[in-house]
Amino acid sequence: MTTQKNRGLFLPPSAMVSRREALKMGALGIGGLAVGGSLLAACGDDDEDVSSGAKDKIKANWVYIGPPDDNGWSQEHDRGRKAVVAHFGDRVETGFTPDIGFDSSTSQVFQQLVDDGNDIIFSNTEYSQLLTDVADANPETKFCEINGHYYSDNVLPFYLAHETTAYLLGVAAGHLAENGRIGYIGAFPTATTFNDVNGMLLGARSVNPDATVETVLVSTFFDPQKAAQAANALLDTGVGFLFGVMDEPTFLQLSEEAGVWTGYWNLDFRSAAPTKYVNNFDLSEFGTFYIEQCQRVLDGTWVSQDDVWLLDTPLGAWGPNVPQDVQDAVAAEAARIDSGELNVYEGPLYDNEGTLRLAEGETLSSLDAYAITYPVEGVSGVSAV
Amino acid sequence: MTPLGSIAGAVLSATPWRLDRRLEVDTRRAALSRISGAVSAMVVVGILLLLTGRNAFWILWQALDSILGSQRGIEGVALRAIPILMTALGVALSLRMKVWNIGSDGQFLMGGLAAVGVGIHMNGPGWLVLIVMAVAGTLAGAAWILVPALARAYLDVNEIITTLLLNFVAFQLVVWASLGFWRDRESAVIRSTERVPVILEKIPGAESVTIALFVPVIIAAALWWVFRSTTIGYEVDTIGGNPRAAGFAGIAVRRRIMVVMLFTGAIAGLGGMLQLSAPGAQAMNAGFSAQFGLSGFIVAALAGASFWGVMGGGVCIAAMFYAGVLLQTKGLSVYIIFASYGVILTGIALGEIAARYRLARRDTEETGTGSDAVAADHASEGAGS
Repeated sequence: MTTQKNRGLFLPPSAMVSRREALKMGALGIGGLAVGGSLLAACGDDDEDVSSGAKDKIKANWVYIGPPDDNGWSQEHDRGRKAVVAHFGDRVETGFTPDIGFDSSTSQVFQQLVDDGNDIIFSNTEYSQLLTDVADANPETKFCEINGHYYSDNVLPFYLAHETTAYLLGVAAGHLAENGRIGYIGAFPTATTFNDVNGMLLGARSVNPDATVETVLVSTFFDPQKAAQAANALLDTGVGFLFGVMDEPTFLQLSEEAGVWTGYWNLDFRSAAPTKYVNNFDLSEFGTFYIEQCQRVLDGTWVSQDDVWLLDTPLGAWGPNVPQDVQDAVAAEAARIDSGELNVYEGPLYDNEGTLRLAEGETLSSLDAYAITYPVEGVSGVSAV
Repeated sequence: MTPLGSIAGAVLSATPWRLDRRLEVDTRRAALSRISGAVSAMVVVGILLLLTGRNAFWILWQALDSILGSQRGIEGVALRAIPILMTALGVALSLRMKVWNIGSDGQFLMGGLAAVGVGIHMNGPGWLVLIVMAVAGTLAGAAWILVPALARAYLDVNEIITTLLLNFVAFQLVVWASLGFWRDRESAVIRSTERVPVILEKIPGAESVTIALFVPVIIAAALWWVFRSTTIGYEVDTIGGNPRAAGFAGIAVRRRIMVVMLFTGAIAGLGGMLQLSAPGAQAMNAGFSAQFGLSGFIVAALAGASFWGVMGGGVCIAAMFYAGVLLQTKGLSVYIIFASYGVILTGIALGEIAARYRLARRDTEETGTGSDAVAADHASEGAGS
């Protein structure tokens, strides 16, 4: 069983930019693969199965945790799938499998998709062994597992570099929440949650040194009722900004009703909170990524890699009532992050139990942040793993 | 009065119709009635699918093909059937005594949890670990129903509520174990416990089905024999018929209630251990029980607490669920699939009721049994609980 390890291929943030460029070029069909391939070759990685032959037509399937019209996470992935359809026409036969949870029948779903002749299968949540056991047994089928932490020749984990996005939203929250208290609805105590709450806390503290993030974990990504309970609990305690990783926008409506600033992970959903909407994570890179992966399968050049493939995740468009000076302040911080002047995780940094995690001068890259295991000081409601 | 008969009688009490119990129930006719109930329900589902523009015949073909078309399909049904059969046999045993164990999901989860605790901590030869896991799972399932059993036997506390509520407690314990004290910390992101390194022996020639398949068969045979040939079985049936009369006849009613309830929990707990020891499972997470307890309860209620009926019904329902999951990969919405399950199960239930009762108008004179019989039945149940 291969687990997370560094086998030589390490892509620093600068290389990631060039890879993203490569990705865009690939989407236009001009030699992106050569760049990607040479990049891999340059790193001397010789145990990847590179050539399985070009194909005229391929079959791809997307496995979603929720319905494809959830007004959130799964909908954004399905927008990516539709981008594949628009780009390739009938060269890529796409399908999707919605509402797949985390029980033993999930493995049967993946096995069936393999038996149906899919060349590549994308999943929009981490199914871990429910997916990877099937992948191991079917080395000819390619898998792209979002937020995955299993690395093998036919499983490529991909995710979003969202700690920077959370930081920028935190800067906005620090300006907007007068009491400096940010509420966060999370699902599980994993790196996704840590990067969200840490980014928001550190961004907010850059404005308001007393800012805090109060977390409620609800053990699900898609359960409007549980999300509403958590939102009401946080709103009742008087948070000044409410954010969460929920796949659907129930908590936005509740924030609007309570007159509390709010933002969303997945897409621009200002209609749920017309006056209190701040911003959202922009997930439109999914389409580009999916097109790139399908192109590689078509060309017979698809390879896995030893590190997660992180997608760029900018902020979206501002809500109508966010003051211009707040927008400008966030833009200034975004420029500092892009230039490398500012890191989200910079020492000295303590976790919320008082342990020093990063010494003076130390920083974490996006790849390091992908494996983070602790919430920073100032975050409550969740503890280190 | 069968459980279903009580429900149907209650529903009909608002109409000018009533149910009259058939004096003699021919088993062949009863089976035919259930099958025709299922078939007519499937016809209804098919018509609804056709009316909504879906090709019902293609869907039926896909369903049958996914189950019977390959060894993998047959094994997939068997894998689904094992946990359902274990919980169903436990519930069927309790129903022989008219005790309603709604908590088999919780007992199943606790059995799995105890087994995972043993499996990840115990060193030793694999067979020994598995035996200790089985013992631990069995005891944990029994322990999980101990308090409801004591409360029911000695304090006459309704077991429906107590067993049901403990399901939620068990679920939260599993979440806690998988995110907390037994969490797989290797990558800090996986939301499940560590994996047990041992699995049960596979049946020769099988890809994934283990010898766990024999366990429900053995238990069904043992229960069938106990109720056919032993005094204990006779006593339990007598208590089920009329607990007060059983007490007058010198049967130790309370002690029998204890024994039966502990056994029903133990069987479900062993089911949890068997599920954990299947290839691909081997760890606990929030999705460990895909409503197996609830499915088992449905099977037991439909089979009218007949152990061989449970075996046949359990396999049919497992096949239906398996086909349903695979139809999701063909683009059929999960809501349509769940609605179809509901219609088919309702059809079987109506077939079951039709086998045992016949419909009569309230104002017609009846000889022999009649609504009086139903009322008397209610009275005896009231005395029993």
